[in-house]
Amino acid sequence: MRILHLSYEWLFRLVRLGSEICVFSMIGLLFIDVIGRYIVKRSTLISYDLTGYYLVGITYLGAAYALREGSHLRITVFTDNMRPRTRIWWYFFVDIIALFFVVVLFVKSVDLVRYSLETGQRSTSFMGEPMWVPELIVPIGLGMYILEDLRNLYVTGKHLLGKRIVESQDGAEEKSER
Amino acid sequence: MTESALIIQVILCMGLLLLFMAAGMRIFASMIVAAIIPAYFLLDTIEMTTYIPFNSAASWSLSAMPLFVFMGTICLYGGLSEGLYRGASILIGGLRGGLLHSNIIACALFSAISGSTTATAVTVGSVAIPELGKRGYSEIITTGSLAAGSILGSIIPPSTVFIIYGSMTNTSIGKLFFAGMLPGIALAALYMVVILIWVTLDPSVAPKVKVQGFANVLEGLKDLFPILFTSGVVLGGIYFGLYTPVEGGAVGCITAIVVSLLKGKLTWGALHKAALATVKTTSFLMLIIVTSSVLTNVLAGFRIPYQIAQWIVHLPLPPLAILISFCVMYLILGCVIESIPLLVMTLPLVFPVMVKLGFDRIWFGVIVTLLIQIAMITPPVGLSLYAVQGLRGRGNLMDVIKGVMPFLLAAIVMVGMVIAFPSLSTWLPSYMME
Repeated sequence: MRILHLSYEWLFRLVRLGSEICVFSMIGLLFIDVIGRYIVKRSTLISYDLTGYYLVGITYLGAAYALREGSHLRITVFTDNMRPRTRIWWYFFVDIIALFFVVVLFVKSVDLVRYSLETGQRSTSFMGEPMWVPELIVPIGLGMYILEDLRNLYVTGKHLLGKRIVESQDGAEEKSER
Repeated sequence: MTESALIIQVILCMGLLLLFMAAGMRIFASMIVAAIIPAYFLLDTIEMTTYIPFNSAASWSLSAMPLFVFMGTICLYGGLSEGLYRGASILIGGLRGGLLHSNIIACALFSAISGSTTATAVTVGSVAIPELGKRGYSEIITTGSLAAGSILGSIIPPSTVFIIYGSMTNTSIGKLFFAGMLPGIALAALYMVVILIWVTLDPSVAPKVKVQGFANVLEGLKDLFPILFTSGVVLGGIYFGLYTPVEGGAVGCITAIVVSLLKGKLTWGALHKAALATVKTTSFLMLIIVTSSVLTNVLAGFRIPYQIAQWIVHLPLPPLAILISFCVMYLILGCVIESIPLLVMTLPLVFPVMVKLGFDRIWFGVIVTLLIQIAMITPPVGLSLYAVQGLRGRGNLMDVIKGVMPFLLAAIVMVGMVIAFPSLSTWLPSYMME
């Protein structure tokens, strides 16, 4: 169990690192492009496409991290009136429904990668890169999000079935007092 | 299509969205549920979920968002905003109302390097609340002015809301940035008038202050220099056409890093923290935008935006009355829905109507941004109210709500002023260099 946990954390950090690399690469590439245009009178020609791909990286590779940090907003104006335990049960079921639809997105994003691979789709830009490469970021990020959501649901479910609940910031996750 | 079929489709899409959002489902997930169910049952296809998640995220114009978020967080963790409050209080604290004006000016200045309302509230509030408390200012007016001042973060450029609006409506983000400049400054001035009136009517809310000498004013300007320099490099370059808003974001990040290094405040830890904060904010905002694109595609599949625009345009009402009705709708929805979700939910339906009625898209962008920022300070779901109350850490949220009310009124007056005088928002962008 411990090895599984450590492997999962290692994978989580690796994906998060990918999103951080996208932030720094985006800044660096765009800055070089501006400097290049005014100092050596040349542009990198690749910044337009790559910047979009970096944004895809930040969005999807960072999704699981944003989930762990409780950043994906919910509207709590109605659920705030529930009793704490009822609210956690409620979020548990709502999150299961949501997860099903995220899985649909994941499956569809795999379809896109498979289609691009099979048909040999390439970008029409200067680089002419195979499209499945940047498209692969979406299923990787969504896959990590699904794993993180499953982990949350597992932890919540385990505690709901017996232990005392202490609410976390997100409202859906909880920790045992013991 | 018959009117009844249209109503059924709207109820199905928007009803599902509101139902799941009200049930507490994460907002981006509610959008995807509201898109997939009607698409599967009524359009017999969910193919849009295959390509839109990638295509709408790989957006050049939206790339400005993480860059400005990173720039703001570097200013925060790299010590650029440290002297901000002190500088503002030296320069403006001599006015009647004293440091309450500094709250507004500090928020306005921080807005010029950060596109986030909550970041503005937290940055200025964390210094201002203990300081004003120590000096005997009323907590009601202190917290109210801070919550209200924070919404300047998304009106004074750079602004995340303008980036999203520009990307969703294909409007120049650079022009939107400068369209928000004058209304932002005018709103700050209006807030200061509110403070002056409040302090005049009830002098007990603020102690008497002494006017600062010239040497102190110079000291204040020195404190503000890092922030003014960074925002000047970004906004000046965009205004004079040296770089696009996206490139301006990258230049701003490097400038903020260099200035922080020169101040000796930048560490690896701060860079790492700023990158993680950027990832967190961008991912949550982008997932809402991406899933709203899927929903918009489904709505377009039913021709709902077109049908609604046709229906509203043919109502026997003058265009201004329709615009004001939308403003009222935003104010009401803003009480229960957060600002960005409110924007991405409503824009696909409202924007085509505004275009069909012949309204200027930049002018409407400023109006809608002001309206959804007002949502940040309207109870019960006003994030800025909670952010300020969280910083205060004692007392009741009701104090913040009471304190923000006069400022809320001022913000609504500002919306009226932008509607009445469109040049407030269109004059500055008209002189912008391409």
